[in-house]
Amino acid sequence: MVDTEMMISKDRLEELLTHLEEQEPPAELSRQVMQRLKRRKPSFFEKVSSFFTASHTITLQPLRLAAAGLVLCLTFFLGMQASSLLDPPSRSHDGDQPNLAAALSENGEASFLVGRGLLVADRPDQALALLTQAGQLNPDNPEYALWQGMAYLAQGDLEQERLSYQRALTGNQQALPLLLNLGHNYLQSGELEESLEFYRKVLALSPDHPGALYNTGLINQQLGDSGREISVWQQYLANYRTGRWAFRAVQHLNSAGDYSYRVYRVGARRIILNQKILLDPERPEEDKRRELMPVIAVLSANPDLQLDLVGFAAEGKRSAKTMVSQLRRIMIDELGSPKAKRIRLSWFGEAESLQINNNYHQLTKGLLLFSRVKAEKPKENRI
Amino acid sequence: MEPSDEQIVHQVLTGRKSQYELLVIRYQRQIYNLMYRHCQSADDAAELTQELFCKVYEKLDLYDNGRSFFSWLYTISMNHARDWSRKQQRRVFNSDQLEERATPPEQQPDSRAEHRQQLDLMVESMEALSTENRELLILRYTYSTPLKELAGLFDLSLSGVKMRLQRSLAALQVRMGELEDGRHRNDDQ
Repeated sequence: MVDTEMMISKDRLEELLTHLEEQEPPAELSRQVMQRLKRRKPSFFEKVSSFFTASHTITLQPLRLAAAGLVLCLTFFLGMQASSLLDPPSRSHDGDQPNLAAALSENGEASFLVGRGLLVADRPDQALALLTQAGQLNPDNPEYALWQGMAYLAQGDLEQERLSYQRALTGNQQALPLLLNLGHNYLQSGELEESLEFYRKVLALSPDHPGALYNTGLINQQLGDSGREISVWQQYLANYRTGRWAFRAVQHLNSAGDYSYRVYRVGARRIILNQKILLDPERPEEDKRRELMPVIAVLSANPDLQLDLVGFAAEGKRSAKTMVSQLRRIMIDELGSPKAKRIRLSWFGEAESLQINNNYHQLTKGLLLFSRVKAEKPKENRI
Repeated sequence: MEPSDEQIVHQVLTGRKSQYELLVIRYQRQIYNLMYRHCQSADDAAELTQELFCKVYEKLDLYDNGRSFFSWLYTISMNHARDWSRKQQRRVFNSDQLEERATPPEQQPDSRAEHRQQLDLMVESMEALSTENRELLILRYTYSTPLKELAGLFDLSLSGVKMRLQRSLAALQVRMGELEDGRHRNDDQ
């Protein structure tokens, strides 16, 4: 139940919405769009369409026109003669009309390209027909099979999707996109062990693949293998610290009882830090400096921001103080000594207690970061 | 005087393709941020924005001059972002989305930090709104989009837009209250 007195007013909400902070788009974005448009080749349909819709200049030269007319008449006459000689009278002429489907049926690559375009344009039914055709013309091409599988996926046919990938894999066991999509396919069907097997193959080819790592973590969680689950989340977070999935990975890791990575709010930013590195006395200082760089960057950009470092160590106060003092010194090295007052320290000679999802945890070593904007005037004391 | 959107579209369609960059520059911020709200990644947002502007370029001849260009662009962008989200979400366990958020303890606010914190809280709470309601609020209050234009964009009547805005604000208000309440309880423990 929400305390209505605590609720923010609608007027205040409207005001906050007008101040909603925006991300700065990359500086080169418009140029990149224009380059992409320049590189883009017009499709067959666009060429045909532009030929018929664009204006053309026609120069009329009587002599050339007469010659062209003569050639045309001659061609027509010869065509009629040849047709009467070669064609049996009973032959049907219905299929002689050149059409796009006939042209595509002879060219696997054309079928593939058009089919892929249709799939991207969210027309999976039409795409599937052409991609299947492309696959029949070139059964050994794994890319065709991959896209055919994706067309089945777009139709919601997981069984056929899987068969497409499996057919293509017989010719190429190392095709990463096929292995990855097979992993996804089994995962979506709830066949966890099979899915895990394919993600393992992906990770053997590309050890840091984000999708395979993340889903492997989820599967281990579902299988109740918390040891492997923790190890996978740690591997994921060692490589990826930004974006929604990274924050979710920290939640999973913490829920599994491991706090080597934690989310800290520094100013407006949420930052993922490896607490284990920061609190390990044996760890080289350079590793800790690298770990602290995102925090240092926020402090550099916000001169009014103050940071409180709070250390916990079950082995005693001295150990806790040493840990946070070292982190402070590293940050001051980067920020410059006049900024030293902005970073304050607290330490406790006890384990850190925390509660997540109704589970209580005790960390023998723990680090908390609190940031706040420096107050210009002394605040009133309230009773 | 800067050319209007409609004038630029006309110029592009009649062969002055380089003019399209003016439209990209004019609206890249709004579109990039819309994409960012969906994918929460700067790289993905940049890629999606580029894809979107290329897609719009290809569809430019379908643009109806009687309608606001921004509305038209935003509609295509929302669909593009939604498609992207759908593709991403299909591959993630449902249980992953149902889990409760676990956030670290927050600092006590002072006068200026309070504003900052309320903004953060609002951004976090907006994730609980549907895409349409969230974008409706942002378009109305952050970009000051006229109600009439919003009505066209979301296929609603004027009164429908007003009602939806009020409901979205109320939902946001409640969600912020819930989150704040949860944090206070955590602090108390």
